Amino acid sequence: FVGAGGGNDIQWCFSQVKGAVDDDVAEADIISTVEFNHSGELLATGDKGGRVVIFQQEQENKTQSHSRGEYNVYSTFQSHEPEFDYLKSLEIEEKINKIRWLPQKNAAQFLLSTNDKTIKLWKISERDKRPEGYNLKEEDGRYRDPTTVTTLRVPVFRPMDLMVEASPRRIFANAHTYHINSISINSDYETYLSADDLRINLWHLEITDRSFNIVDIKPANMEELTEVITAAEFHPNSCNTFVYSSSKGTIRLCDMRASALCDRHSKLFEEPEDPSNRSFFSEIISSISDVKFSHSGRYMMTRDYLSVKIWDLNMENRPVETYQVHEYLRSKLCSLYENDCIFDKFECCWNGSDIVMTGSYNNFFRMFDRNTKRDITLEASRENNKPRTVLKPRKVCASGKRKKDEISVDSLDFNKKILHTAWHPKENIIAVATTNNLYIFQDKMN
Amino acid sequence: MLGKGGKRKFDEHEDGLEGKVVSPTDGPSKVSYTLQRQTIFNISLMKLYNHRPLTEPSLQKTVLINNMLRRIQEELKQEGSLRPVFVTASQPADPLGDNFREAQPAFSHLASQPLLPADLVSTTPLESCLTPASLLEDDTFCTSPTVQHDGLTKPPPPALQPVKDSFSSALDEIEELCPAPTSAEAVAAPAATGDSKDHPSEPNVQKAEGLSESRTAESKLMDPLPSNFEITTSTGFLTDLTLDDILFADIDTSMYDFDPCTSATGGASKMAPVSADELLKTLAPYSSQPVTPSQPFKMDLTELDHIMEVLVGS
Repeated sequence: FVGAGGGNDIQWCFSQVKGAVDDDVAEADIISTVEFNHSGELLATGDKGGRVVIFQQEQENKTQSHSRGEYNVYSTFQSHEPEFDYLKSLEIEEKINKIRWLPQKNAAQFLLSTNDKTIKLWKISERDKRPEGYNLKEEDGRYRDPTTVTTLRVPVFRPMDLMVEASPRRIFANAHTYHINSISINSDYETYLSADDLRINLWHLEITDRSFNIVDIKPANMEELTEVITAAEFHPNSCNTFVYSSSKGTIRLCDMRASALCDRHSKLFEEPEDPSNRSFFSEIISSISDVKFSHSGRYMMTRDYLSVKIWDLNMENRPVETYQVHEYLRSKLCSLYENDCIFDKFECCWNGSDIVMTGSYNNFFRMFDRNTKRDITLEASRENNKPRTVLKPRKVCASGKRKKDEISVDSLDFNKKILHTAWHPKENIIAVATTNNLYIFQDKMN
Repeated sequence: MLGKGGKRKFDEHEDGLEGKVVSPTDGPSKVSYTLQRQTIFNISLMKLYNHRPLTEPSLQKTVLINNMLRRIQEELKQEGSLRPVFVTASQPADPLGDNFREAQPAFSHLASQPLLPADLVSTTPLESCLTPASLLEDDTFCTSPTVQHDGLTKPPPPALQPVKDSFSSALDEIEELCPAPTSAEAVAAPAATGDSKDHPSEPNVQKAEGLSESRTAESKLMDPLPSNFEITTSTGFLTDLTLDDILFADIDTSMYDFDPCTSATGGASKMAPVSADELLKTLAPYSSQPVTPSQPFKMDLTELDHIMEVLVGS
């Protein structure tokens, strides 16, 4: 791993854990998305109950040089409420599917949060002073009779306890028939895209009553539907370029300058199937659950059920690197299909362009260093996690004799899945979400 | 799914299916391949039809399961095209044949492809069909060549057509009874999530799209529940798929009971359990009788009625 000493591996230490301690998980507390803001000072989580919780990093204490600032709750608000679609007689879940931060332009912070159908722009602002000294009201709040007011008193701002307010500034609704799976803010910071199973729409942040459809893969006859959109993202530097991935394992890169409706891709990234690995589940495990550009924009990473692939945008016919996340599951696909785990959507994230991270089962998460080609498996658990102790690498024993400290595939807990992870944009701090807890790990500072 | 961390265990016999990437061309493991395929087939059907969520099911999941079922169906079809497919005209006097003749029209007009029997009755001679050698060795799907050719050269019975028409009109009646909100949906969709003040200037693109969708949906006569298409494409798929299998099994069963048609190798006796098994297990949720693979499966009209009820009623 890239470390301070150049070539040293990062040593990850437990820093904090947020969330309930009991084993009984309340459905509403299930974390559904995790995202750092552009400076890394704020860390937002969304949950199945439609709430957003934002943590703020403490300013670094000069005397405490051993650790970076801790993250504490900064704001909590209800972003989405459950709705009922009377026509279809179905509930619209309030679960927050994605949160994306806007870059900071003034004192306030802005983020986009979305559920299956509606995207909202939230403004989070601080209030730490209030005007005091009005002489226009009685004690009980009623306005005084103006004839009794004989002096002119100018109110003065006085400090008050910090109050963080979240208010919805825009609501982007009614543009998606299917479930929204991605939102991505353009590098122009004026527009953003939202993608559902069959369509991708382009919005202007200021305009809520109109959106432009830029991709539509819905067939005329729904019976012919065999492929859906699974994720989409704008290129970090080219404001006309975006990619979207599909359930068949393909990624399409589109250029919005080419035409209004980008139904014809500029590039199609697809790796031919390995015939020796063919099975009934080949298609399902090839379905891409997440796509992320590297910070430079030269590479993109895709996550499918068993692996992480790095693609060079200049090469369409195969990825430049493939990392196996949990290959030992390949022989268990039938069971995983039966219990639905094969449909789990794991996300992935970058550290710049060098290290990638993704989650697995049993509360394990994995990191792959593209430079050293080394990988590591760590566990997010409250046991054996003391601050500033280095995390012990874990190993899963696929078959044969199990060594000491290894875990056999059959004793993995498939209910403990890490689907969402995030990496601080500037420092080696990572946020890892288990079902209902948020773990924060930092590298060991010397 | 969120239990207390208890690990689900798979059935004993299915443990044997795990750990092996079985391909159809493995000779000795052909049976385990078909067994695995059948298991996956049944699991897939269960997933689509036993799920009654309060919220809309994931379209991605539905599509992937549908694709799985379609792929298995394609494989079965290809294997089925090698079986001696016969038409009613060639078996006049047998009582089971009569049953079959009665039964077949009842089923065939339900098939979304009226020419489905034609699919089975391949127009290409057997020799030119690509067949994995293992199919010919283990489960001899083909029997005596003479019967093959008879079956292959017969056109589909013309009786299908008039029966289909009368049934599809009955289907239309049923459609009328079911609400068809596709056109209403498009108009009402803007109003459905009612808190935004953006309604008056709703994008016209969405509305126009929804209306044209409803027109194409309604123009399809063979779609029993157009209202569900937006939600689950699987409803239409079930009609397609399950009936195909019933159709297959029907033909197979008649073959099985016909002495002149079974070959000296006794291949048909191996063949029937595979298809009958699939059918039996598929129908198991709908029938209260325990079914065992060894029972020769006899289709009678009461069962047909029951199946019809289930399919149209779902």
